[in-house]
Amino acid sequence: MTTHIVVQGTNEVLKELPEGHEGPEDLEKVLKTVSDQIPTLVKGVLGAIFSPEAGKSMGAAAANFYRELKSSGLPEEVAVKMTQDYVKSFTNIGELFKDVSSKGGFSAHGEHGVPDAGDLSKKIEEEVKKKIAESKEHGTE
Amino acid sequence: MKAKTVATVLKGSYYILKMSGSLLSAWLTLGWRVGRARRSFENQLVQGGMTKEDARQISEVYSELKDQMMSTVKGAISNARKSSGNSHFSLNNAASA
Repeated sequence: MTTHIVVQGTNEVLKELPEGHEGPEDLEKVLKTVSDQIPTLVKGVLGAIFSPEAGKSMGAAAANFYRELKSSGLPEEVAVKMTQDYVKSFTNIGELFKDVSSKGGFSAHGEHGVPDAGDLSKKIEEEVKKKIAESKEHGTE
Repeated sequence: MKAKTVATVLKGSYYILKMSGSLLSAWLTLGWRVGRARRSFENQLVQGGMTKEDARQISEVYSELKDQMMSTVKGAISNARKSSGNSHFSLNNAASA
């Protein structure tokens, strides 16, 4: 019963759409785009963070940092603790997403006003690489 | 008109199912992906001179990152549910008015 009312209400809304907008066809286009873009975006993000390559780069940066601390004469425990904090600082996903969104990663520029998932996952990958490069630089300083 | 609407609903359902399948497979393989990344990370730390135990302890960040990601997704889903509940409510109000 409730569904019927909702459908009626939806139809009323669709009737009020301006000319050139066909309602269900537009919805179909949006669903098509979303079903293409969202899995690409998710795969891109997962590939950028949870892949053996990403793990290797992050591990190399952390190992470099650890070696530097050890060679400067810090005790084992302190070096491990500092490396742990250092790794945590560049795996803060909240900050990562903030960085990406502040650079226009979530602005509508794709088909049907939907952000382009390929661009967004590339931006996230770039941010991850940048953070790793930054951490490598700090490690060698 | 009716046939067109039915076709649109069917196509829409197909796209939703397709997307759900991809997301489900991503979710199911997430643990495996995390494990592989974690092992590469640990290997690099061990090569850098760290003990295996310490390397394992540091690589815990991967599990934390995974949990953080999942909670972000869950938060987004619950927010979307809340907002869709509100829009249903307003549509019901509009229909009854």
